[in-house]
Amino acid sequence: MRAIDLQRRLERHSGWLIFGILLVSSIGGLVQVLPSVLDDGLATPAAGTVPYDPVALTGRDIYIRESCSTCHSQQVRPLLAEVLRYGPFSKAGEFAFDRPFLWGSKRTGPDLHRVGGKYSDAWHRIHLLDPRAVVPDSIMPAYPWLAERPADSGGMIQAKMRALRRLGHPYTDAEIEAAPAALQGLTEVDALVAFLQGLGASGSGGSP
Amino acid sequence: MAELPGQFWSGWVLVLTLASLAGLVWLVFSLYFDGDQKTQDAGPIWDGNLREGEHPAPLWWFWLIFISLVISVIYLMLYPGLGAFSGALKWSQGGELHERLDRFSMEFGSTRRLVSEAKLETLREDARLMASAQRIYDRNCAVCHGYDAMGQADLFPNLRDADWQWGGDAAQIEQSIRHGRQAVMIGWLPVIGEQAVNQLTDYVLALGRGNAASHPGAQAYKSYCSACHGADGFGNVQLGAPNLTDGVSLYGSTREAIHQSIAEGRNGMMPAFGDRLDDTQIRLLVAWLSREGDDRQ
Amino acid sequence: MVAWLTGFAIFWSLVGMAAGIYVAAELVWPTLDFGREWLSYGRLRNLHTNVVIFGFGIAALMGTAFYSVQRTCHVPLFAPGLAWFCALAWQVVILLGGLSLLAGWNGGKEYAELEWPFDIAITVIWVSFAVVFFGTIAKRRIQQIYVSNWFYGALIIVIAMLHIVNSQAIPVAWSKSYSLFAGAQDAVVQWWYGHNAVGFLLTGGFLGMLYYFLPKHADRPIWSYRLSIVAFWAFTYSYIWAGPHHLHYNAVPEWVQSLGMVMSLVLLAPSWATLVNGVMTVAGAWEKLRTDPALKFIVLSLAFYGLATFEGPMMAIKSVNVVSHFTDWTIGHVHSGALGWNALITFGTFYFLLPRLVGAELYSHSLANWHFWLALAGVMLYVLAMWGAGVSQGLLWLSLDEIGELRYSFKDIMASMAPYYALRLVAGCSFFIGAVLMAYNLWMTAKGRSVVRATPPPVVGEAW
Repeated sequence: MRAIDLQRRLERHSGWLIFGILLVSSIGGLVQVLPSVLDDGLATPAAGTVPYDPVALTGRDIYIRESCSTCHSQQVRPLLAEVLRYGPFSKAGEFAFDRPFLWGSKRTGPDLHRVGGKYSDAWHRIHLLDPRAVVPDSIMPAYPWLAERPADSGGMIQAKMRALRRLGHPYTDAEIEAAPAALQGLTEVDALVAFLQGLGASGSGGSP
Repeated sequence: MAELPGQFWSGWVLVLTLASLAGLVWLVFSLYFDGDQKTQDAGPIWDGNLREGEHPAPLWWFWLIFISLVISVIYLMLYPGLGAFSGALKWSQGGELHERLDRFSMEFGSTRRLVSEAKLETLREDARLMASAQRIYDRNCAVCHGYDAMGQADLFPNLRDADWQWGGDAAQIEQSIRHGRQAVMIGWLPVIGEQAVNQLTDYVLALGRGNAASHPGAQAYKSYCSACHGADGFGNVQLGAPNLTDGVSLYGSTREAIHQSIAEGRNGMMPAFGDRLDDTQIRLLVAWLSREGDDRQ
Repeated sequence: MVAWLTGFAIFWSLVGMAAGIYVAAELVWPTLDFGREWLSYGRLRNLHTNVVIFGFGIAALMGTAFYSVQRTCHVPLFAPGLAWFCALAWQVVILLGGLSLLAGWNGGKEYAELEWPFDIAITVIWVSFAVVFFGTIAKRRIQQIYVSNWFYGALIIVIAMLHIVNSQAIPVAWSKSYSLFAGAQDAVVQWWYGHNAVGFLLTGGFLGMLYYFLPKHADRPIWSYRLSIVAFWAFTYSYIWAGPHHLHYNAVPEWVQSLGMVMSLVLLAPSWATLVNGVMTVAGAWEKLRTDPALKFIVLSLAFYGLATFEGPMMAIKSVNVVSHFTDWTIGHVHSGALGWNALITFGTFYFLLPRLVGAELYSHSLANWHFWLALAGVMLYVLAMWGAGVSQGLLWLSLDEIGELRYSFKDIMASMAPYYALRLVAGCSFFIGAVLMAYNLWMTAKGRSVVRATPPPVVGEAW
């Protein structure tokens, strides 16, 4: 059969045209996405990678709310200069509890995947509330409101942990029970700093 | 080692990819070479003036897609792509990094080892090495201690003065960089009450001015502070207890700042960089930060 | 309704560009958010991308699709009430969705930030869009389906598929949900979505616009039918594979990256097939370019389409991507597509369409010419500034000194971007002012007039 004849048929029957588009446009997804999603290899946590504790989880959701990933990647590529600058390159298993993933697509600011422990909590706090107090040339926005609000003002932490447990994050009943107490008295900036300080912990050490 | 899919998915990827590429090739070949290029039926006219043109598709375009398909197939022969077939070159991104790191050690390894073992004086005399040291400082230390290393934010110490809370000789600086520091001063307000805190604040201010002799706070100082800061207030670098007599105060020299330090305590923290920096980098930083003295005579 | 959608599209383009200019200014003067959450860069940038892509882009595509599908099928819309629902409900989603982004509701996936209540609303509207569009095609009076409708059809089908899969999440509250996929798997799904939202919305959808309005306006047949066929099917086939080039050297398997790269290279050919088709179609009507602002915009947009679809496959090559990834080069590439191609072809289409809809001459040709030059200057300056910024970022990040230390701290490289960012701000303003002139021009054209009902042209060909 000739392609031109097939085309003649497709463009005369809207049902066939729709079917043709569906078929042709789905192949790429079937090849790349389906195996990636169904293959366990990409979802197995790396050694030392555990679900976020309630404080870090809350901090992570603040990171998402403020779209930090617009300017900061969390993905150290296996390139010499990148490993020298940021530390060991990122592995798939380190992100097994990241919903959604926050690798980002742009580095207006530096990568943060290995930032955990590099600076003190006190520095992060100053820097988040007023970046130019410590980095004069910085073009990062200031986030003064983070210091003014309780970390979990919506009271959502238990619902969040239960939702994640349904997706396979191994939170115990006791952990969920104790979560609000862990957040008691903390502000948003405390939670965000806790999240940042935990970043990349499972892959630290041994940077060349 | 490249991450490759399991057997079933490998076959799935291989078959669907090759079959669909073959379909694309068929489409292109059939449209170009079905021997029917000229005889185009007139076709309908949509919306008054929209018609299909009768020109054959240009041959250069055929070559464009043909060549890109050939390149693709060659690439998929050489590199991982077709399921579990890891490619003739056995390339993986981790492997590529290892190769780069090997080349890095071949190119710079001996120089860097020499640097890590060199005398500090020698390093200090080499302007190019000091430029490298400053680069290391800028990348790792400057956001806290300032790009001029003069400290900032009433929280991060000045590294350009003679006042080193944890000691300023080379070994002590190296220790600070490699393992970090954690200061522990408790808040005294709940222990001794507001009146005593006020008295101590005045005493520390007087110590800084050098006129603490016969100050009424001396007794309280001796009871609560001298164990760490010393009987005369000269501090103790082993504990990171700062000298109180030199008029330099990390957290600010105002009465309010000193009052706050005593009442609420201070827990200055320097992270450990032993995992982030190698021996060469630490050696260069020590040389750049310390002015004289060497622990490896 | 088409006139309304045109109006909405122009409105959203102005809102989206204004937000874009504001975030560009924040990169020059970071305190411009005055400590307000809703003016903060992270939130405003999401407003910018969503309003431009989904507000401006979809309103323009929906309007032109509804217009051209009626004309090329020679019948009025199927289910006009449902069409009105699509047109209006979409604007409500963009308005409320935009506000929710400023409030910090954020799904966290790039170009899919809207939270799940909006995802559901979008799905409902999109299905209605499909019913109206394919319903109209089903009752067409000319048997053969015109090429622009293939592309609009692919837009509707593929975006539905991508949106439904990528938005899978478990809700926690109205404002919060967690993605069904995690980590590396989520990344593969997201860029399959993200790249093909570009592919089938910003490229394919607008190619539908091109295949209708260019030959319509040039009054010439589409140059080569066979080229249209191969362009359409090869495009639909290969684009969908290209997503993983956003994940080169990331923590996803090498085989996925390789397939993404080679299909990105293959994609050059079908992209340029349409470029050739468009240029050759207009080739017989060059004289119109002197006098006709609408055609000028469309032809210039083709040039940027050609540039962007060449640049894309090049950036998808791994060794180039090492330098370009994570830099402003990507931003430049996106804007040469979004401003140079999407916005310009839409502007050209509107200059053509709106006077016809209301049965009047364009209010001012000279204002349209001013718009043309401001837009051209704006997009050129934008792209050049971002090339400069991106290439220098990429190379400086990699640079080592004599003993193998990184030569530049991140902060030094970031600080050296200031002139480029200032230039980009100027470029954005230039483009924006042009768009304001267009809005005024088209407003004055349409003012006090109502839409003229056009009689459908006679059916020539196999009738149904």
